[in-house]
Amino acid sequence: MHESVLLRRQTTPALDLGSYLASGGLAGLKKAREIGAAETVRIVTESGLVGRGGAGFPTGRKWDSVRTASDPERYFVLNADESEPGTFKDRVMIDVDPFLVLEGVLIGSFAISATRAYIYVRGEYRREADLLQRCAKELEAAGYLEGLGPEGRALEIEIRHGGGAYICGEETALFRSIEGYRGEPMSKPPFPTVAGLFRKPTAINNVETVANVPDIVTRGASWLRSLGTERSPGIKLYSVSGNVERPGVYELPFGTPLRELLELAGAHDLQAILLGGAAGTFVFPQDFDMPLSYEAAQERHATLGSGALIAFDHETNLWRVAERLGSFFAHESCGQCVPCRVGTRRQHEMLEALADGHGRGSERDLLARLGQVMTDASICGLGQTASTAVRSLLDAEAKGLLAV
Amino acid sequence: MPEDDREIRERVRGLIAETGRERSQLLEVLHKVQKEFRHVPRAAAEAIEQEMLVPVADTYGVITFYDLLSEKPVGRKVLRICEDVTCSLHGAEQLAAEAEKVLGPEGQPSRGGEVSWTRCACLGLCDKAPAALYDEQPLAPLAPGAIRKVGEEHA
Ligand SMILES: Cc1cc2nc3c(=O)[nH]c(=O)nc-3n(C[C@H](O)[C@H](O)[C@H](O)COP(=O)(O)O)c2cc1C
Ligand code: SF4
Ligand code: FES
Repeated sequence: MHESVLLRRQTTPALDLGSYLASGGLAGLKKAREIGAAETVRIVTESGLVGRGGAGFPTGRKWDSVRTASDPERYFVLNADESEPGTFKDRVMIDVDPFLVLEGVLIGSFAISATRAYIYVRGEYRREADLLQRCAKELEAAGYLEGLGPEGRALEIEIRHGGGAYICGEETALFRSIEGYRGEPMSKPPFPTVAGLFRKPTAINNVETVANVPDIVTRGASWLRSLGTERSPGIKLYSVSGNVERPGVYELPFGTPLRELLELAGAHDLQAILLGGAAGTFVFPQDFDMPLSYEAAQERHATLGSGALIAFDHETNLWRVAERLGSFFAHESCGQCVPCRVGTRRQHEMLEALADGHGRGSERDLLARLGQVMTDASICGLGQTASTAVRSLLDAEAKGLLAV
Repeated sequence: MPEDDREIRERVRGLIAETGRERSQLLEVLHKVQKEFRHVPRAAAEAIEQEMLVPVADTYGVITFYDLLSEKPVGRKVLRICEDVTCSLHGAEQLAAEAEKVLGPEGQPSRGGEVSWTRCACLGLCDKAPAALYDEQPLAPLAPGAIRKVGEEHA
């Protein structure tokens, strides 16, 4: 049985600085100060930690490019916009251990010598934003932000509230949102590490990513590598919901078979699951033995994404599920590029027809072709992945795997 | 409850003073305006133009982009019912129908402007599906009885 790390304070959350310190908190920050920024980044790089927000980019490499940038003004951004359907692990992470998340932010900010740290919390997570605000104030009052900024200055932390737009989780859209604009993604390059928030070098990380950092710094890079698989070191949080007995967040080392997670959550006799959120893929029982690792997912043309798992029983009409996903993308497209703006609408209309059972027969072929266009011609990840789940469902249907 | 435009402008100037005048504070200012006036009135956008140098048209561009901001008044308390994948497995559609029955048409304030309801995308509360937010607080799992209670609260 895996002993939880990220969720170790789940039963007795440390919601004030005193209890956090009493339960071993801030050891990572202390060590980072002792060994310095360069060594801290080296450890994070060596640990093999990759981003948990979905894109899977190596965290140490990101930090290193910002750390060594020539512009003295740079930012650290915590992405707590969590709006991927089926995903709630960042909310639970903040609720059970807000100081662990903040300690990760402090270490990251120190590592890149950030002028300021922004914490962008989705507008619907009022409670979490307030909690982080209060905990950050406690850290500040106790002097823990001193000396973390450039040239020994104190780090400033600013909490920002999202406006209820999924697209603002995309990093460049998130920057625009902080800057006071519509959250419309920008083409990359330039990448955030070069020109991010306010066009300054920026390190942006997901909540779960930074929550890993304090332990990596304290226990060393080899500790993270002792967990998980060679190519996916460490642990992952999964948000499990749908037709299961025990929905919730589960922490497991990479490489754990999917079946084990399903058993933990109390899933019986499923038709399929949606793995990786709205931009994920449907996975059927024949693949339930797959290990949960980035490489195993990739081999099966699946994705772990942010770690969302929605379970469906045999009564579920999966075309109805796809229709819900289609509605989501049509609503959340920022409208900047035509293939995505028009494509997500057309996709939704066709999915509605299929879910209601009065398609014209041409939908399947059109959906596949439209999906390809959106993938090829959209500028950001939303348009590029808006058809991923639909296309995996088309494949499954062709193989006769659908129950209804 | 029509407010005097001059009063609104005055109040918004106060909100800007306590939040910050930089463009990057626009969303934070708009959140506060929305909370106070239940929408962003034209007079507020004008005050923002004067104080923050953000053109009125630009402010409207921002308001229409974000679901939590609105041009027209919403209820003092808003019930947001999630209709996304997990919640629809757990009866979101019936709950929306119940809300329509109890609170009237989606998006229209009832009970003297006290309450309105709306459908929304995943709230990150899927472990407690079917989920809703009521007055910014999670109301999950949401039961038809809870919707009726919201109605009675403002009978
Ligand atoms: C449409 C879209 C939505 C996204 N939403 C989120 C989100 O809610 N939270 C998040 O951490 N990353 C999200 N991302 C990924 C971010 O762009 C970025 O890769 C991430 O914040 C980097 O942090 P990480 O390296 O720690 O994962 C999203 C990406 C796309 C394309
Ligand atoms: S792909 Fe869609 S969401 Fe992304 S920038 Fe284009 S229109 Fe906006
Ligand atoms: S699907 Fe309703 S809260 Fe996530």
